[in-house]
Amino acid sequence: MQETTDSGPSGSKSRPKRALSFLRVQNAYAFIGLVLIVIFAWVFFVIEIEPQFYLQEGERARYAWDTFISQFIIGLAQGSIYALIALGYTLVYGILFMINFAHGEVFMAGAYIGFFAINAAEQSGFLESQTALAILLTMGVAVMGSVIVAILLERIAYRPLRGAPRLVPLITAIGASITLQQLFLRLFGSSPRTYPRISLFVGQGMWGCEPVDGTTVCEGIDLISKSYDVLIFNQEVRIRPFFFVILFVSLLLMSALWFFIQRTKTGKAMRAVAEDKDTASLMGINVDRTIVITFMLGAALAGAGAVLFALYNRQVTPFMGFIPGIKAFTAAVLGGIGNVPGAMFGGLFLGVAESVFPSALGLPNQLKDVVAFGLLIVFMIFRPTGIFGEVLSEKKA
Amino acid sequence: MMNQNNLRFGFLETNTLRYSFYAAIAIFILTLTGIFGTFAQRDVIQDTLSLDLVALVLVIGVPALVAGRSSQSDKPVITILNSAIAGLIAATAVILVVLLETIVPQEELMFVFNNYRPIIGGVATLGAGQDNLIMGILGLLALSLILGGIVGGILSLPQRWMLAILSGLGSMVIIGLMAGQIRNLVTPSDALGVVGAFVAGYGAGYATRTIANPWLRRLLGFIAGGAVGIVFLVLGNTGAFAQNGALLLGGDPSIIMGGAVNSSLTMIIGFGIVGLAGLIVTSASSFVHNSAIFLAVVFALLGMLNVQQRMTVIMAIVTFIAFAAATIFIPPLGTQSNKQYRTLSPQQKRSIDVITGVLALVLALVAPVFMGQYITNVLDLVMLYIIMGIGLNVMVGYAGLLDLGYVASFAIGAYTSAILTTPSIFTTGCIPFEPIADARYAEMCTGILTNWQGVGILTFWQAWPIAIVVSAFTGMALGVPVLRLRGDYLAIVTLGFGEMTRVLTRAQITAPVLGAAQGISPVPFPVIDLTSLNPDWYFELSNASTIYYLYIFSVLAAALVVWRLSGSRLGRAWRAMKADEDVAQAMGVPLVRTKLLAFGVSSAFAGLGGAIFAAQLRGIFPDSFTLLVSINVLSLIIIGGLGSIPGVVVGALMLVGLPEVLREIQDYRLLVFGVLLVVVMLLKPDGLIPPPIRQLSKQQKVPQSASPQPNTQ
Amino acid sequence: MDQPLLNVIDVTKQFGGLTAVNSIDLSIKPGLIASLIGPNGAGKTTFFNCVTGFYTPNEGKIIFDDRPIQGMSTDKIAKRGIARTYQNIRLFGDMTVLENILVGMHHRLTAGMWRPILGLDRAEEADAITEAIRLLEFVGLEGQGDYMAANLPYGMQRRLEIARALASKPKLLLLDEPTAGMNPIETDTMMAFIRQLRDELGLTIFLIEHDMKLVMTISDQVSVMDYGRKIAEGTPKEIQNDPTVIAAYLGTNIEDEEMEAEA
Repeated sequence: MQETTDSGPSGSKSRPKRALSFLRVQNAYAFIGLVLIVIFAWVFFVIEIEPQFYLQEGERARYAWDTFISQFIIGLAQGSIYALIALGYTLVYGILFMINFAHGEVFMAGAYIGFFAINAAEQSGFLESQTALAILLTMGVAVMGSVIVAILLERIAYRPLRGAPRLVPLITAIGASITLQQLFLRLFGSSPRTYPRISLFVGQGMWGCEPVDGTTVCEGIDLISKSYDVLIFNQEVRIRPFFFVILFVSLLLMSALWFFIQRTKTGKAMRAVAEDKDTASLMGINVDRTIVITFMLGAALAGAGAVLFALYNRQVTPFMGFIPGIKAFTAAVLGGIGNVPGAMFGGLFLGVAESVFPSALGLPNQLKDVVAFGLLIVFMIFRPTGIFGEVLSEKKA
Repeated sequence: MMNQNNLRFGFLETNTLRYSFYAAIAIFILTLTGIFGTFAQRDVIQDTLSLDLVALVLVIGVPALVAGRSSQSDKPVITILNSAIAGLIAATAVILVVLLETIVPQEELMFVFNNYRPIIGGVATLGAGQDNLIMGILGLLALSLILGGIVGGILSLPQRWMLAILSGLGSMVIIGLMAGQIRNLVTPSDALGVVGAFVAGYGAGYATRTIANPWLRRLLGFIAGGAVGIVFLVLGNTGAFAQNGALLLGGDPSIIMGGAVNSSLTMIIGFGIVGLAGLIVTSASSFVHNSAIFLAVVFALLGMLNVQQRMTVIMAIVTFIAFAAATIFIPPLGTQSNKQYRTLSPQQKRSIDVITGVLALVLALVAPVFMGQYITNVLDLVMLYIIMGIGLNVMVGYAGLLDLGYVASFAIGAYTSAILTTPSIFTTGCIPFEPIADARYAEMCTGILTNWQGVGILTFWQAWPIAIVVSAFTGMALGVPVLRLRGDYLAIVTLGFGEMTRVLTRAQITAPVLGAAQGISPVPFPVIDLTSLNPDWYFELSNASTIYYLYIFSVLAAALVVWRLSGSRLGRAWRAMKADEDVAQAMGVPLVRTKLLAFGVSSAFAGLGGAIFAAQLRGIFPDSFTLLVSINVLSLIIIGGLGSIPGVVVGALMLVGLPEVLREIQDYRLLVFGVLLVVVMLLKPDGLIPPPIRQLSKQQKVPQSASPQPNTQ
Repeated sequence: MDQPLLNVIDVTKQFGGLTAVNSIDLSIKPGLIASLIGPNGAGKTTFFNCVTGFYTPNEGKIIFDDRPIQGMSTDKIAKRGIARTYQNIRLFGDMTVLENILVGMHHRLTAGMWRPILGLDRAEEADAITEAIRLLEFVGLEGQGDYMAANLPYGMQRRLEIARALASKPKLLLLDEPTAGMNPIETDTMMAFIRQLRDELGLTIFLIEHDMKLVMTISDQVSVMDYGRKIAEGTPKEIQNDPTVIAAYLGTNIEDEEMEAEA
């Protein structure tokens, strides 16, 4: 990880006398450290120091640690969904050097297909009796749906254009994105579909105890829908356990992907194809198949992310893929497109940043997208190829 | 796509199966979107052919067409059989939906597929209801076999006949769909007159082919047209074009002949010019020749449509015959005129090109008289996109800088001009709660421009250049931080600029200046005030047909500027930079300056378009500035052919004009747009009209056969 | 005349921990053909990149035409009079042959943005095109002007690349392996051509080459690099007999070499 390439595939080069070049940090971890220190210092300033100047007796500061902590946790959850989508962008980019603009729609497709699955489960009562299993099955169906859409996408819109100029697949990707959006709109209607409100209690008899009719009933903690007041770092914060579920599931999936790419034969084939398609095919790797698998992996993560997103947001529309898609792509670029850990980090960072920054900077929440893209631009100035640089996966030394 | 292995089993080819299988999936999905239900209400030909039937025919016919085309057999029988099978498989998809409808309860089906409407009893079962469903299904199968076979049969005809039938059918459907919008464009008497003058000139062209002096011939063409004009003038004086006059032919009152008696000379000259056009095309390049004659055919048909008012059966038949005949007979004539064109000396060629250009310009200038509000509006939109396309081409097509946030420059131009031409804190310094006379701003407010001209707000003509300059400089300023970024990194950052524009125009904190969701209105329209020269010369560009002239002027100016630039030192530097940035720099191209100029020039055109757009809408609203604008512009330049100016025109007509005109498929417009993007790119990755190769060494003739193609790596 | 045209003093270029060019001193007098040879990976191309400004040396000075140029951007250095070709041909593939050459003339032309828009650059353009056509004839590509550069055969692409470099009227021409991938006959033609460049145009030429026959035949001065260092310099004859050079190329120790030579 220490060896990061500083520029695109055309080879590393130093460019003379650039403004601000002395500010460019070569090492990714040093850069992250620097950014984190700056952010933390700013937050500390806003919460601890600034109020002393304007706060009257007995007034509450406009921004305090509890807000920060809850926003941070929400941001992590949001960010892990960005990261799941961003991985799809990054995998495809790493292998084909193209922006799969329709990836947001793959995500949307997963959410829709998941809706019909979970709706069927609700109608049949299965959701009530076997909640955890039903959710898992929903996720499985959604993943399958996303994967099918991605395979079709690759087969129809991208594969015939493998050798074309780079802008051409970008346009088919945009076309495919619009087509999918409109197709889902025409097929399933413009009114949003709503996921059922689900409660999944864990730890019955241990947690969530309340006195009922003189006896103490412990109904457990609802992992999905309810929010609880919790003490974190001595601050009372109201959070939904589901945020942690999202974070946990995402990290699990990302680790699985990481393992897959690093350890399995197919993963190695993917890395080989990313390095050099012609040589890989000479080595007996089926390039077409490897590319399809890459699309499938990205789609699977997006499908899983879509169900998590939909369980949290509950509303599903044909246009829901657009904004998360763009954000996730931004995250992928932030981390260094084509770079798997970069996408994970970029996603988490972007999620936290857009959740924490607007209020920390005293801006209206309306401007969170401006903050997100502003950050991207600032980062691009200092690290033009993303935080971790532009590689699919670093070569084993 | 056609070169995939095509094996044959008996008469059946694998391509047939492959394509019809894909088609069947698509048709299955389309049927579930309720396409037959949505189109059922709409007639293409009055009381005869409804849109859902057209959809059914297309659904069966297109797969049959593709399968038949991909068939490599010389034997017509095999083509016909393959087409028929493809049609059959396509129809199966519809039948599957019919079966689905009988099995699944209706409310469940419609819960999932919200737009689905039952198709049993509609065209899909040939009108058969639940009780005789089997008959309906069998009928559909039989129909699909026959229809597929017919398509195969058409494909087996000689190329010219095949094209004739297809173009006849296609234009029949398109004119049928558009009938509502275009039925009042051309009155029959006008059509008769203009087409008559054109034919007279064309005939004169053939009659005088032996005359060597081109100017004499042109004079004769002019006279031929003018003669038709005189005839019409005489007829007009007898009252034939007056209210209920005989020569109105049952259509609307004539536009041209309406004022004929008063300005007879103008009219004769006008007809003469049409005659001249008819003559010129007889020795013009085949492209010019063919387009002109097709235009004449369309003109005549529009005249007839004005009489009929609807796509009646007779109108449909005439349309079919006219287009089929035109497709058969015009290309050979075009070949002849092309042959003549090629024998001309370079000067003569040039003079023909110039005259064609002037005539095209005249045509474009008089067009709003005929086109009516709706079509003019569409053309205005198309031209706005042409201007932006030409601008973005500088950045993407020449300099190779992928910009996904072009809407930002467009918005900056529009907002700048709107702010400067309305009372705002920038101009008058305050916005009074109730409307007051312009002159009183100076008393009430103190803004930057308050005391200038005593009013404090600018006219469109003053604000326009400022908007252009502001756009250009903002474009450059945005370019500075991203100078070092390449390719897709630049794309995402520019996308970020676009999204920031979208958010900022809506945000509350910018509301005092940009007006948040309400935008800024009313923005004044441009006024051309030349009353000091002539008291009559006062023009308000307040509607689609007048602002049209502003657009057309801008398109021409933009095209000229970019054409000049592209062949200049700067243009070469851009293209070199696109090909290889490092080498370009090593050859002495200063990257920073060259890139910033690309950003600036490109943004300037967006600003130019934005300012006119604001004036046209008489106000601006943040909803106009979304990512879709950037995507539209980028798509149309790539579809048209990167770096090609004619390509921009074709791309804009296709991606902006076509969806606007086909209002009838409203709900499916964006879907068509998306599919179009994919299909065009799959079939023509270099775009519809790739840029021409600049033949700089005029000394030597490059052999046509060995002429190298633009590199496609 | 005795003042060197290019004078490189103690130039070092490092990438992270790797020292690709290690305190090189080198000077080339005007009108000479100088060669730089060395095994693959010796740092020759990196050295070229330092001279043309593509890389900024970590240490040292590069004096060209009596003025320091280290740290300047490549376009400014090109303006000063250094032009180059590349080891793997790098033409502007989707521009025509003539346009490629016109790009080479970039810094000698003056039209900016406004003059072309107003149509005032016609005379300059016409002159430039005439000159470009003459250049094409000079390198033997007459009549190929309107072809796409990418569609030319390999040998012609090499010539075009040289023509493009010549279009900037350089004082010093850097050729990076001009005969790579050529057969012996083509190599001989190229050799004659390089000589012609020096003799007819009075250019100073600095080239990287692996073809020893070519290097030894046309060079006035040969420098040898290995592992980023300059290990020898002199006339072709001196280099041919230099034991360190032989060792560097054959990778054996000196005694073995001498024994083989005696045998």
